[in-house]
Amino acid sequence: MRRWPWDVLGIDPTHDEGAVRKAYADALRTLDLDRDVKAYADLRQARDEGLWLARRGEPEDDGDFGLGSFDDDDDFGNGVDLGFDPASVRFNESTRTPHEEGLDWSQLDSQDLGEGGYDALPPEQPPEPELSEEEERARNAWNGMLAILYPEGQYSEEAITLAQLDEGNRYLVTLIERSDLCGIEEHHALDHGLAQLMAETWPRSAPFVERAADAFHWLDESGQIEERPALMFLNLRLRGMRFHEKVQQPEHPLNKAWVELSRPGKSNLIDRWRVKREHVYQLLTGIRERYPEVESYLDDERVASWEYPQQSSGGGGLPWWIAIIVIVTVFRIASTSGGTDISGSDPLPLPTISSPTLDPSAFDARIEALFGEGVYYQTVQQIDPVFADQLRNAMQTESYGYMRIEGFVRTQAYRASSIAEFDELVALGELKRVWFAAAQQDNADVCRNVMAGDFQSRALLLDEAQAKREQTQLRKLLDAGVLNHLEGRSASNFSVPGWAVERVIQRSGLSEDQVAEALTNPGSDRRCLVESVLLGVVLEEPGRVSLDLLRAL
Amino acid sequence: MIVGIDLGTTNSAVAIWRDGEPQLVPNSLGKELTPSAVSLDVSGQSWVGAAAIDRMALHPNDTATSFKRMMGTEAEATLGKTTLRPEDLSAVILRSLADDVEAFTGERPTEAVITVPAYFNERQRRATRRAGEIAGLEVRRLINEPTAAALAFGLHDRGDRQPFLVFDLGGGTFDVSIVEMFDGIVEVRASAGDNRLGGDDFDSVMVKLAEPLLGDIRTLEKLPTPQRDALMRLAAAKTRHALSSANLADFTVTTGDTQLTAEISAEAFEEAAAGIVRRLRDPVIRALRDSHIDVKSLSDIVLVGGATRMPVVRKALTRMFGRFPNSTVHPDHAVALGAAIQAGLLSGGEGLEEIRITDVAPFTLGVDIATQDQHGRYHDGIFAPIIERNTPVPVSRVEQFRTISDQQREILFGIYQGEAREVKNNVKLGEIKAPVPARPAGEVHVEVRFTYDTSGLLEVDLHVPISGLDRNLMIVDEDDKRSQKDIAAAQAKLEKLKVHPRDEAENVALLTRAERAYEGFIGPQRDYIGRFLLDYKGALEKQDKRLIADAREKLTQLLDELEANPPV
Repeated sequence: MRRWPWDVLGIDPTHDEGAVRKAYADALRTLDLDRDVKAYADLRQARDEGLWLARRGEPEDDGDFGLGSFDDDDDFGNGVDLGFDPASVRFNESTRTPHEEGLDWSQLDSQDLGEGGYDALPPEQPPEPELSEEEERARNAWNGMLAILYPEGQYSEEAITLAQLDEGNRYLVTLIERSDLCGIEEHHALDHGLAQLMAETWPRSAPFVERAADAFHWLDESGQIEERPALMFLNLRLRGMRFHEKVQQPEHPLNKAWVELSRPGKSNLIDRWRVKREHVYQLLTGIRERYPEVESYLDDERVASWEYPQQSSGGGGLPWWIAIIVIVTVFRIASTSGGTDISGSDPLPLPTISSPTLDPSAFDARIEALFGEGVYYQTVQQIDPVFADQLRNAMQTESYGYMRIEGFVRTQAYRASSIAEFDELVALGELKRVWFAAAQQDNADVCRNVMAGDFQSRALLLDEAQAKREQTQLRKLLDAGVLNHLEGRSASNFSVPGWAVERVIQRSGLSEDQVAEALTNPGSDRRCLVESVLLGVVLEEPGRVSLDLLRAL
Repeated sequence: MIVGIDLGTTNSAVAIWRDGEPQLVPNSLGKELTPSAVSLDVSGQSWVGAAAIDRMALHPNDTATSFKRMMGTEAEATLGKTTLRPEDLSAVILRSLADDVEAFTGERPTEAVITVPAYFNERQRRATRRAGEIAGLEVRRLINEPTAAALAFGLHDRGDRQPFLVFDLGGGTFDVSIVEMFDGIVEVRASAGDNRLGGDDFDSVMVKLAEPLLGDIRTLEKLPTPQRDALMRLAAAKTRHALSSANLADFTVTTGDTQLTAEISAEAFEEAAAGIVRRLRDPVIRALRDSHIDVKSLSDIVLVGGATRMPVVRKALTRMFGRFPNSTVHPDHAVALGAAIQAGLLSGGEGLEEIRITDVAPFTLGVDIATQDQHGRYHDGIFAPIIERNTPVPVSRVEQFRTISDQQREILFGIYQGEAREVKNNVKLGEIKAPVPARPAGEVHVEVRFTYDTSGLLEVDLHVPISGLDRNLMIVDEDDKRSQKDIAAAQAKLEKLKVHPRDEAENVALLTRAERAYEGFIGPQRDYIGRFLLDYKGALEKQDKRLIADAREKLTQLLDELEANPPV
C-alpha cells in the first residue's frame, strides 16, 4: 500500500530539489499537524524519498548522507562481514566508500578554517601557513600516532612495544585535549580520523581504543542505525577486550577454563581433571560466537587438544563449528507487574464459598506418584518449603477446577531451566525426553503444548516406565531446590552446533532443508519430531554444547 | 487574545502579535524584561520582578528566584507565610505579565503560547502548562525556546535559509537547535541540550572564585546561610555582567558596616569556568550529528539568552565554529517575539498565512521491558525506545510486546524519557497497565502506541488484540492527578496575595531599590541615601503628587549616580 512519493507530493517526477521542497511546503500548509499525524508522517517520508530520487539523477551530488548509508547488517558473529572493509577506509587512499566521503580526516582542508588540518602526506601538500603552538603540537601528535600504528608506513600485525605504548598514550592525550578546545569541524575530524585509523590498524591499535572511546563517547553510538562503520568494528572489539580483561580475573566463572586454554601445548589428563569440561566448551563457543579475535589469545594446540578428534565431515557435511542460528523469534518481553499468576504463591481471589477441605492422604498419594516412593507433602516441606507452599496453593486451586497439580509441577520443572545449572539442565533434558515420548504417542497438539511448556490444557499420559523415569528426574530437581521459581521463561534465539545438526539429519531421516525448516519455523509440523531428536543428540554429550542451548531446549 | 510569553529562569517577557509584527509589552516600570523573581511578606503582600530582586538582599528567605530550575519537581518554597510550588511562583510571574498586557492593550489576555527549553522533559512541560492554568491562561501551545528564537530570526527577512544553529544559553538551561527555512516552512532538524546548565552556573563559579579573595570574611560567615548566599549570588551576577565589557571587575559584598571587595580578572574567570564551558560542546556535536549536518554548511550561528553575552562563552563559540556568531536578533527578546509569532499563527494573524513550523522530539521516549540474556537470566528495567530522539513531531508509533510469565493476568509498562539503556537513568513519566487473559508466556501480545503532539506532550494507548481491550493515558503522573483539583486551590492561594496597585508600581520598586542600596553602601553614601529616602517617604505619606514626583526624581538620580560610580 505504499504510495509513490510523487503522488503524495502531487508533482511529476523531477530532479529539481527546490520543486520537491516547494511541493512539500504547499502540502504542509494544508495540514493541521496535530490532527493529521499520519498524513504528516506520509508527507515527510514522501519529501525525503522525493529529495533522494531527485538527487540520484545528478551523479555529481553525493551529499546524501542520511539515506544512502543505512546498513542493517549486524551479523558479526563470524567475524567476516563487518559491514565495512578495512581496505576501503585505508587512510589517505584516494578511493573510499561513498559514505566515508566528507568525513575523512584527511579531507579537512587547512584553508577552510585557517587552522591546521594535519594531512599525513607532506610531500604533496603545499607549505602550510604558520601554525600556532597548540596546532603544531596536535599535528605532531597525529603524525606520531600514525608512525606508531603504521610502522614504516605499513600495516603491521605486530604488537606495539612498551615504549611505543607510552609514547602513543602521550600523543593520544594531546589529541584529546586538542579536541576539547578546537573547532567543531576539527573535533569531528579528530573523532573520525582516530576511529578510522584505529579500525584500520587493529589489532595494533588495541591498547589505545579504550581511551579514545571514552573521550569521544564512541560506545554511545553502539547499536544505533547511524553507528559509523569504523565504530561498529571498534565497539565490537572493545567489548571483546572488556571480556578479555574480565575473564582473566580469578572471580570470573570461566577463568579456570581461560587459564587452561591459554597455556601452551597439549592438555594432559591432569589438566582435564582440573577444569570443568563444560566451562571450556562454554568459553570456546562464547568467544567464537561473539569475539572471534579473542581466540588469538588462546593456545592453538591446547584448544585443538580439547576439541573432539575431527571426524571427517564427508560429502557436503557441515564443518562442525558452523553454528546455525535457529528457532523462535526473539520476543520482546514486557515487565510483569508481579505475580497475578494463578499458580503463584498469592492465591487467586477465590470465590467466597467455603473452600473444600483438602484430603491430606489423597494429596500425599498424588505427590508420591509424581516424585516417587516415600515422598510426601511433609518430605517436600523439608526439602523445599517454598515449593511445598506453592504445591498446596495449587491443590487449592485445583479443587476449583482451574488446574491440575501434575501440570503445575511440570510447568515448574519447565520453568526451572531459567535458573538451573548444568546438572539440573541435564535432568530437565531427560525429563523432556520422557514428555516428548509420551506426547508423541498421543498427538501433535499435545507435543506442541509440551514444547511451549503448557501442561494444563491437555493432560499428558505417561505409561508406567515413563512415569518411573519422570519420578527420578523430578526428584533430582526437587532436591536441587529449583522448582519454586515462578518466573516464566521466554523463547529466544539459540544456536545449534553443526555436529548436532548433522546427527539430527542422520537420525530423523529428514533432509538438511527439512531440518532447517523445522528448526527455524516454530509452526512447522516436523518441529516436534526434530526437537525431540535434537534433545536426544544433545543429551548424549551435554558437555559439548553451550549452557544456553541446554537451557533453551 | 493570545499572548506569547518567554518564561525565563532569570528574566521573563511577554509579546503580542499586532499590526503584522510581534511587539514586546513593557511592564509597569516601562521595561521589556521582568526579572523572574517573587517576594512575599508575612501579610501576603507581593513584589514581582525588579522590586523582588531588590528585596532579595534583605529578605532572602522571603524571595524566590531561578525557580524555573525546580519546575517539574516536588520542591516548595515558603515565602512569608505562604508555601508555593515552582509552578505557583511561575504563575505569579505569568499573572503579572498578563496584567502588563491588559494595561498596554486594555484587554485581558485569556490564552497564551509559553516557551520552554527544548530540552525540558515531559514533567517540566506539564508543570509549565499548569503554571499557565493557575495564572488563568489557557496554554494553547508550548513551544521550544530555540524554535521561537529561530522564528523571530527567520521572520526577519523571510528569505530561505540554509540550516542555521540556534545556541540558546539562558539563566538555567542550555539548548542547541538546528533549523532550516524554506518557502515559509521553519523546520527544526534536531535539538540537543542540557537542562542543568546556564548563567546561574557561571555565578556559582564566580562565587567560588571570589570567596577566598575577599579577605576577612568573618562578618559574612556570621550571617544566616540564605542571606549570605543571596548576597554572594547578587554580587556574582553583577561582577559577571561587568566583566562583559571590562577586563577587571570588583566583586563587592556589604554587610552591616563592612564592605568586602575582591578584584576579579576576566582571565581568572575564564580559567575557573573552563569546566562548564566544556559542557557547551557535547550538545552542539550531538545536534549536528543527529541532523546529519556538517558544521561547514551551517549558514549562521544565532545566539539567544543573556548568558551568551559573556565573553568567555563568545570565545568558546568562536573557537568551536571558527567564525563570529550572527547578532541580528536581540538575545533577550527573540524568544518572546517568537512566541508572539506562534500566537499570531494560532489566531490566524495577518501576514502569517505562509508560515508553518515543524519541530522534533528532543528526547527518546519508550517503556521498560525485561529481556533474557544468553544465560537465560532475566534483566528488567531495560529501556525499549518507541519514539527516538529528534523524530519530527507530531508523531505516532506502535510497538508490540509480549507477556513474560505463564498465566500472567496483568501487564504494566513504566513510561520513560531519556537516552540511557537502563530505565533507572531515565526520567519516569508514568505508568499504564491493563489486565490480559491468562495464557502461557509469550502468547498474549499487546500494542503500545505513543503519540507525541506539537507541544511536546505525550499520549499513550495500550491495546490488547486478544481481548479487544483498550487503555488510554495522557501521561498522568502523581503530580498531574493531584493538580486537577489543586489548580483551583493554587488559584485561590494566589488570589489571596496582595498586589500593589499598578500606579504605585514605580514607587514600590524605587523604595525597595533604595532600601537595598542603603544596605549596600557604607559611610557618607549611606547617610545620603538615608536622607533622600526619608524625604521620599514623607512625600508619599503626604500623597502630594508634585512632591512625590520631585522626591522620586532626586532619589533615582542619586541611586543612579552611586550605582554607576561606586566609591572605592
